[in-house]
Amino acid sequence: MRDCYVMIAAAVLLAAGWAVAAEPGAEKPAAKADPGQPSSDAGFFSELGFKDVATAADTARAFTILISEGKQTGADFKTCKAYLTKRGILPDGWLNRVESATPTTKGRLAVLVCKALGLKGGLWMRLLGPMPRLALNECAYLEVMAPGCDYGHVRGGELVGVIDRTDRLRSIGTEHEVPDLEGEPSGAGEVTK
Amino acid sequence: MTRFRLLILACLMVALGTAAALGAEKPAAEKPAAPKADKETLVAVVKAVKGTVETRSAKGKPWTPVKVGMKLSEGADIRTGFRARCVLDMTDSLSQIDPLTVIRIAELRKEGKKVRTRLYMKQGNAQAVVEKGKIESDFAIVTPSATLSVRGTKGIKAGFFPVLGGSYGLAGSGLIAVRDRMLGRETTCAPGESTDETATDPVEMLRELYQSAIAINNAGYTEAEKKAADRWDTSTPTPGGLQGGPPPNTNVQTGSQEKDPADDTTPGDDQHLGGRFRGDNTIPPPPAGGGPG
Repeated sequence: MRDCYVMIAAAVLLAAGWAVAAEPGAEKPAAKADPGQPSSDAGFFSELGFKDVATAADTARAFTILISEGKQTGADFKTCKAYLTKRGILPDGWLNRVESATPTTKGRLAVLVCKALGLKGGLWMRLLGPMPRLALNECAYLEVMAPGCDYGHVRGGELVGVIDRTDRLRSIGTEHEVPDLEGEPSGAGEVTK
Repeated sequence: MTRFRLLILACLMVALGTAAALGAEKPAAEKPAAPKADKETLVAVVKAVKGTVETRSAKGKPWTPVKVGMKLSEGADIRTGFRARCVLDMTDSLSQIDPLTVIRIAELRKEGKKVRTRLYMKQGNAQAVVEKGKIESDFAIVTPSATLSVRGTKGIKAGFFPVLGGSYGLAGSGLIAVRDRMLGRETTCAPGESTDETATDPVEMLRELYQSAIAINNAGYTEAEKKAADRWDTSTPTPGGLQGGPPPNTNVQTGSQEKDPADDTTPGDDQHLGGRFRGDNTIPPPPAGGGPG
């Protein structure tokens, strides 16, 4: 009878082993997600590219990084608003009237771009000031933004592209201009082990 | 009886053992086949870094700062921050990842004598120099809208941002080909040239693709009808016999017709109808003696 129990135990152990072997991924731990709030500017712009709609907080932080030339990378909405107001980028205080989760419109973004680039525009923009529709036309003419309706929402990736193109225009002729790639590949062909 | 039970238990144990062995073989069978001897996975060596540049070895892994001399293998993601960039040496090519870019080294391997490189760029800008001559290279930058393939060249520039679209150009020497991923249209860029997505009119491309499929087959028409089909949007005079007329086998005149009183032939006959209707757009002959002047 004792042999019987031993054999039953062995069979149970074998069955358990088979069950584990049949599900190879069962023991693997689940992959950990990235931290919610990116701390670096690279992380911020990378995750912003995946957003369907850019919020006022995203716009404020992106323009704070742009105007401060990468020195201010904080994520606090109030700090960003204060900084932009101090630098004179908020002519009508749009960011002060909205909440952080409010979607950014193309016209409002164009106004910020015009202020960041110091664009005066044509006759009507000089007379009426940087109104959203006129500012968007000016930005579309400079190919900084895509033409469209000024009340349309801005996508996250679009905001990243606008920041990139605005900074390229701002840094023309300076040391911060993106240089052309020079040099040749080594041809070493290092192989992974 | 005890022996009988033992026999049953032994059979049961053998059956379970067989099942366990089969189950253990499953993951081994699901494993990908070992790479062939002529395929080697290469690494990209970081040559220069400026600003905030981060990488991760695979999706779900934490981002770590990129340093000079670091070796990045296939599947590595790279993202650059504001005014940041890095230069990668990838055996047959030298690539510069410009600011605000998210890129993945999708493929970097040596297949025989050819080095195959695929960079998947989600957004941002990149530049590349591809060596020609020393190593046979198959280099391409893939963006969500187009694929830029290179045939040995210098000064390649590729950029893409959502909504704003892509731009692809060649500042150095050689030749690049830009293939639209949606329409399949391929455009080549010589030195000094660039292209973007708006260069391909989607409607025009679709018309070229499907026009032959929806073209009307005029095989069943008469020669006169074929000639009439060819005169759309032209001022060519209407060929005889196609200027309308009453229904066949009737004597009813339509409002646009004028019956020739001297003509007593059947109205359905085409021979007598040419050039006698108000709707005829035949150009009148010039007056005798020449035109004005």
